[in-house]
Amino acid sequence: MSKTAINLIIGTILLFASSVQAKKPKVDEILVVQKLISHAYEQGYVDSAPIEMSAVEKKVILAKEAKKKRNKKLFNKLIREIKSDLKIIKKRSEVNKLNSQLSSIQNKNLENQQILDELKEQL
Amino acid sequence: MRLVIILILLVSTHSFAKKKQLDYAGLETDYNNLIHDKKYKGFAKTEKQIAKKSVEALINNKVKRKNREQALYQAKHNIAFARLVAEEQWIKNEIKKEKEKAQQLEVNISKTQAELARHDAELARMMLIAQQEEAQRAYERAKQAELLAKNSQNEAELSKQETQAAKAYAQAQAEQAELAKQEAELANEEAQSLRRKLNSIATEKTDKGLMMTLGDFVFDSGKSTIKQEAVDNFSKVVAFINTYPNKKVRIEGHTDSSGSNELNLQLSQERAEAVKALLIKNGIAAKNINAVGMGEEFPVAENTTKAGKAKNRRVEIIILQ
Repeated sequence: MSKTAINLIIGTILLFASSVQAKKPKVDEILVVQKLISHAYEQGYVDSAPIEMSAVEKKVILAKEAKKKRNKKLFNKLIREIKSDLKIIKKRSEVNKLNSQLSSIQNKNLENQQILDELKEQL
Repeated sequence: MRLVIILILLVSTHSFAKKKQLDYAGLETDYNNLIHDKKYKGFAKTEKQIAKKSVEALINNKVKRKNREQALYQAKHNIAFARLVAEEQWIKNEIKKEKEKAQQLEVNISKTQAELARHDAELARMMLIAQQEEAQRAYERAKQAELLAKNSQNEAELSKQETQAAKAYAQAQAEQAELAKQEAELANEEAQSLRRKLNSIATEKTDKGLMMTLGDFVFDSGKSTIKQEAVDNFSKVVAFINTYPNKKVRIEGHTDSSGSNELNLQLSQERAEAVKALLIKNGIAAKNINAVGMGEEFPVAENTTKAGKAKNRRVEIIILQ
């Protein structure tokens, strides 16, 4: 095979690859974070971090503005922060739930300990 | 003017550097607090490692100037997230411990309840035994009381019977005494009668000589034994014989016709001998006395009647001429 033919094949493959990449649909990051926020509301994460949630919503507004102004750098920064904040909010909510669960078990144990002490006194 | 601008630039650069230093110092403090918190030791290792890398990258100036703000934010986020994950794992660990504790408590409660139930059951059993014992004691007391009552009744009955027996005995004794008295009176009467009969014995003169006849009343019925009363009152007979001291005395025994001849002969002989013995005992010389049994051969009356037979049963004492 001649060198020219090889170059032609490689060129075809690269062209094909670039066309495939170009056809990849563009993700609407605003829509993504809004879905994440809705999910957070549905799951009750807001109860655990209302202030952080409010800050996240403000960041969404700022991101929208940045998008309008085509300030890509700010937009990307805000989107990353929103996602990070939501991750923290989710974790805090989980921790809070676990804390409630722990408190509940501890209270139950205290009650049981009291019951046990009373039973022992009866002996 | 140029100098002023240079100064402003210097001041702003200095203040920016100072702010950066403060941010980094705060970041480092947050990170150190997380790492050295004993509560979270051993938890969120991966997240802590991520946080460490992001903090170190900033402190060691490995982040490009334009990315520093974002890296600082990310580092703070990593520390906060690592803390939350550590907290989550610590809580999960605590929940596990508490659940184990809860399980142990439930086991202990169950055991204690079982022990308590056993204790209660034992107590109930002891009470039941005590009640049974009390019931047994009450039963025994009642039984004892019943026995005592019965004994009292028996004693009363016995006493009554004894009283009755004593009464009967006393009555029997009285009757016996009365009987004895009557017998004594009878005996006395008999003795009196015998004495009178003995005293009233008359002597008669016969061909053989002077004769005194003793009726069969002086002997026990059918025997040759002289009655004690007759022995005691034999003085008249002795006195009669002593009136004739040197005379021979013949004593003849006679019977009625009842029984065989042999027996009658024997009885008459024995009765004659008994009289002889009594006379000897009263001082009459034996050599002068001759006792003879005559049997039924010489009746003085008919043997067909009781009165005749009574007359025939006799002993004749004859002072021979």
